Amino acid sequence: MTSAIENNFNAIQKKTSHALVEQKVILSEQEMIDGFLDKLTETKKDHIKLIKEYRNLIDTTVDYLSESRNVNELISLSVAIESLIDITKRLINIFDDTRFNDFYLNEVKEYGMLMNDILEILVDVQGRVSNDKKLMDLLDSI
Amino acid sequence: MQIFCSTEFAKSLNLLTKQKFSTTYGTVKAEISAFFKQYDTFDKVLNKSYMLRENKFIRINKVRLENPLQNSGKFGGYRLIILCDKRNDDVGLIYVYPKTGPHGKDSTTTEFLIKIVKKYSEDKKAGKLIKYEL
Repeated sequence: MTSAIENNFNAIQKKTSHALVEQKVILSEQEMIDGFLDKLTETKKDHIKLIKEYRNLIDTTVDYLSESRNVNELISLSVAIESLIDITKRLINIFDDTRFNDFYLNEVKEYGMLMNDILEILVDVQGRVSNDKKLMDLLDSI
Repeated sequence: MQIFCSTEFAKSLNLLTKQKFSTTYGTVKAEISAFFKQYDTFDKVLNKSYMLRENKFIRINKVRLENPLQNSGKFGGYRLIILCDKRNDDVGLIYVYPKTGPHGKDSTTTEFLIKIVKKYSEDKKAGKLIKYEL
């Protein structure tokens, strides 16, 4: 079961930022991530490996989103950005779970911090996108 | 090509052309005129870099102008924010600011762009846009 999820994540990483341009692709990736979260409690020994892969995935995505200057593209991705924020918050909640801490105290601390950093960047990007959308709506009204 | 300015642009220009800033920003009007003499058609102005935002009909450009009084070339001169309307070849002046001196600004944020474009839109709807004479 875990290897199937790993395969999904490998596929996600191969796509990297280029594939993320298409919102529907991101949403289908979200479904894979949801699958990952569902399985997270099943096999503890593979957790950290999967979390690392998730971290790499979201890092790539966040780098892409924070560096992109293509306003229209970012606006088109706003739903996906919201989904990523939701997923990141859910992961932070998992890392905050004391039962999880008992097993992987050091790693969980590290990834909890990383996820909080990622969340901050995503919220910044979301704010930027929201302002850009306001400006584009304003231009459309002239 | 007709050139109009918003009340916000007029305010920003008035601030720079006050007597007490004459030795710092005294040439701003001349620099704006010189720009439109060099870029004397709508297409030339439209395609002048660099573009900040664009939709099907409107493009907002930021134009760099020199300030010879500051002796810093275009890099440290003025920034003129213009709105080009492709439907009627009108150019709207929406803001001007210097990069250096007492009113020097680093750059324009999206929030600020929203503010000045909104003012232009409101002026246009209220018939308050002023024809800019070079």
